[in-house]
Amino acid sequence: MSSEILHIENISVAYSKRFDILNGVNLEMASGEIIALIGENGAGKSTLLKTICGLLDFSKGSIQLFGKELNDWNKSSLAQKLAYVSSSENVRSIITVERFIGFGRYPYAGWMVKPSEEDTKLIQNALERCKIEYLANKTMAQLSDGERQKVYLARAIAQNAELIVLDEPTTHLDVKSSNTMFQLIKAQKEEGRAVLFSSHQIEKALAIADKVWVVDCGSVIETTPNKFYEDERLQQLIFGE
Amino acid sequence: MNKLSLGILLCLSLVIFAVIDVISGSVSIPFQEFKAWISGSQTSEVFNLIVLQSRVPKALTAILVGAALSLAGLLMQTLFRNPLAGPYLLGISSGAGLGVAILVMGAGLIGFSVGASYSITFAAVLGALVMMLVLLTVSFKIKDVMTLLIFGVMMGSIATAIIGLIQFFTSDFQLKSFIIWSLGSLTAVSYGELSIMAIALLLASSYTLYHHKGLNAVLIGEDFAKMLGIKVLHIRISIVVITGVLAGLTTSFCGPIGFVGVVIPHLSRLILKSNDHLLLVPFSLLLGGNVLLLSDILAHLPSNGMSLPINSITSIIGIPIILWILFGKKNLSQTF
Repeated sequence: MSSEILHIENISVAYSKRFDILNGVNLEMASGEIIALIGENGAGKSTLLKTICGLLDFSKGSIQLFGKELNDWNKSSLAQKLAYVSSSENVRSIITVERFIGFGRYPYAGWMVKPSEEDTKLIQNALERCKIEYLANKTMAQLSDGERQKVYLARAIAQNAELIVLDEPTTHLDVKSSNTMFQLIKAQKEEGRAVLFSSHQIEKALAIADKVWVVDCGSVIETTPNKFYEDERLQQLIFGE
Repeated sequence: MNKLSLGILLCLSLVIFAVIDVISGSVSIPFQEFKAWISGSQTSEVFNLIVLQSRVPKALTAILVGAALSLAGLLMQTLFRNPLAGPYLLGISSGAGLGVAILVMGAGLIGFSVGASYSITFAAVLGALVMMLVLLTVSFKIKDVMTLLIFGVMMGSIATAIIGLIQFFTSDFQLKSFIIWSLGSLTAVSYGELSIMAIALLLASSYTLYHHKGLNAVLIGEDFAKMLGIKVLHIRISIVVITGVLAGLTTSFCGPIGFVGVVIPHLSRLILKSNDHLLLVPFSLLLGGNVLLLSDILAHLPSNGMSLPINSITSIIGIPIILWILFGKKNLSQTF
């Protein structure tokens, strides 16, 4: 039986005192669910994801993750439950792919960060799941944008968290790479993980999602992919006239 | 060559350079006599005086200052995620200089005379910390690393300009004290001051090694590090304090020494082909000590009893490397 892992009650988020980018948002997410977050550019998708992850403050309301208030979580313990990949993540450094994916094991590691047997197993598993074993010894600077996105997801998978939050994981990807990315997201459900992701590729995103959150004028409307296609107003909101 | 062999090689070269630094200078000491002095069979008063009171402290100063500036530079490059960050380029050393100028000459302007070296040390550390805090505050607003770098250079220039103004209004005596200090040198650092530097460096290195995980994650990005459970604010504040104290101490004891802080961490990264702080910290410390010892040996090569200014030597070595970093790399962020 699926249990509630995220409960958002009446939150508001503002960048300035005069203007709330999100206002009175109420949402819920169950374990193992895949939720697609859609909306126009600047609607507040990234803001919502960052707020859920604790990277942005909210002015009122409450966010509960895994039955506990977000602000009461010890950050290291929360990192074992929640993995986040930002849309602005752009790592082009001399670090190797394998070591970068190893960052996913940081919340579990001791002082030396010498990977344990379990760490090594999970890093290998993440490489295999994302079909990027051949990239293991390359540096992040040597990768294409598509390869880099897969590595970010592999790092989140290696984190072995129950909830993965991905902010626009298919940006800059070609058709083939974005199809692979959506398949990888879908596969997380089979592993028992919940995924909350934002995307502008509506049809592909809705094809793998259990629920849809539509961000509009500071509020978030919760629906299902089927109901979305039946709702003209929502479709007009996303696709235009 | 593997990383352990490289580390051992640097330790050996540090000892060799230290011996060369001790036996060379205005009064040259033959190696055989130095060996005899080490073994205890040569106990001349003159030897004791030259070696123990002048050469050994100078060699130890070179090692500690080189290591401290390298560690400060490495931490600043991690914090600002910029391979060109360093205590000298970003104006931290100028901030330390301004602190000393205000103390030495400013006190003179209002009728006080400052002579105690520890008050100069305190003023330098305070000046460096204030400059580092300003940079850190601005870094929250300015995300572009090149803009931040230019801001740092501007802050350094402002500090230098204020020093110039204070110099203009100060008395000849106070001005002379300040100019002697600002020429900078590895000599005239007492064992007491060396102990302070050694303790500060030991604490800073231990802290940095203990938090190497956090530093590795911060180098990738702050949100990235936060989401891995790293206490980013704690690391930011610690880096400000460590770099301020290390840059302030080295500047107060030896004057401004340029380019070691920016070049050594970058060279360490290139040699190790890694940005893991568990390796970078000890390697930068060793390489920094080696390079400043070598600079000091080069400084007294003219052998006419004069020593060249150490800051000129480090600049001559460092500037070509910085130019190579600027022109040789298409994308600076990829050097991390």
